[in-house]
Amino acid sequence: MKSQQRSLSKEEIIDFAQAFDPQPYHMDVAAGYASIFGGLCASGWQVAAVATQLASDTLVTEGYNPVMLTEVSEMKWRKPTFVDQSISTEVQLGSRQPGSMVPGCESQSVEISVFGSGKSLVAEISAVFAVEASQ
Amino acid sequence: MSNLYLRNRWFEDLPVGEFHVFGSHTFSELEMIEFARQYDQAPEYTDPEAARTLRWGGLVAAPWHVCAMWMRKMVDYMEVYAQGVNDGRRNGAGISVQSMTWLEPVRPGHTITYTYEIIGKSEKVIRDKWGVIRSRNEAFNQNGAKVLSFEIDILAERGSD
Repeated sequence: MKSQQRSLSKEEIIDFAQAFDPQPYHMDVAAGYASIFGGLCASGWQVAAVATQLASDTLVTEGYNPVMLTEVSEMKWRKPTFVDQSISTEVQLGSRQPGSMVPGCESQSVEISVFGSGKSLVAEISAVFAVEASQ
Repeated sequence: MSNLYLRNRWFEDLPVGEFHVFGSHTFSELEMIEFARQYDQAPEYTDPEAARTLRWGGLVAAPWHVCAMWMRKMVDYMEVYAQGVNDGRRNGAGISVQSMTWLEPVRPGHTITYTYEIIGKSEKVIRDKWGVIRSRNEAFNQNGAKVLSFEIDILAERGSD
């Protein structure tokens, strides 16, 4: 299941970084170029939030009812996400387990591949969403 | 030793078992809504009126907001202890997260306290100079209930002999 796309502007990347991840390579173009990443890039947490939202929207489109992200059993950041790069995800459904931290919900596992421009894999997220329990 | 953090020490000088209570934050309704409008638009996180009749009986923080604040508190803590270190940046990026679980909702006015413990060191050497530190991170509300738990692997620079 492929998601919609979203990109993060320079302003959005810097705003997020100033609030939550104030490290030079997320806030300053020159520092980004000089860093291990080679350019101003988004905080990994910002990418994670955008990616799981895209994946959640995809689940909604496909008729599931994701209520809340409750677990990330594994997340790997593979590559930096730069300014205005399109971010999209591919979602694969995993197992459905009874019970959830959200009352009345079940736990749906999903594998989320996060792609940047040119289909390069920027992150992989194994997540669990609370979904409305099947009737 | 115990009041220093990884930014001013080498990989070799970071002991397994080291534990820090590194920051607290009281979440306001306004900032919860601001975060959620951009990153998780469910009414539970964005609309206090609607949230009242929904599952949690009121507005709660978007899950990633609680994590993003972990990052902010961690950066602030590292900066404090980096003072006076000339080459001050011996920690690198986070590379992966394991076993992240949100356990309880965070509501407006809740004060969340974040803790960090080094639980492992990998002998793998990345790009000739980085080691990998694994830590267990937990967040507790003002009543002592755990709201978030995860492990993260972060690069730490190996010291030159």
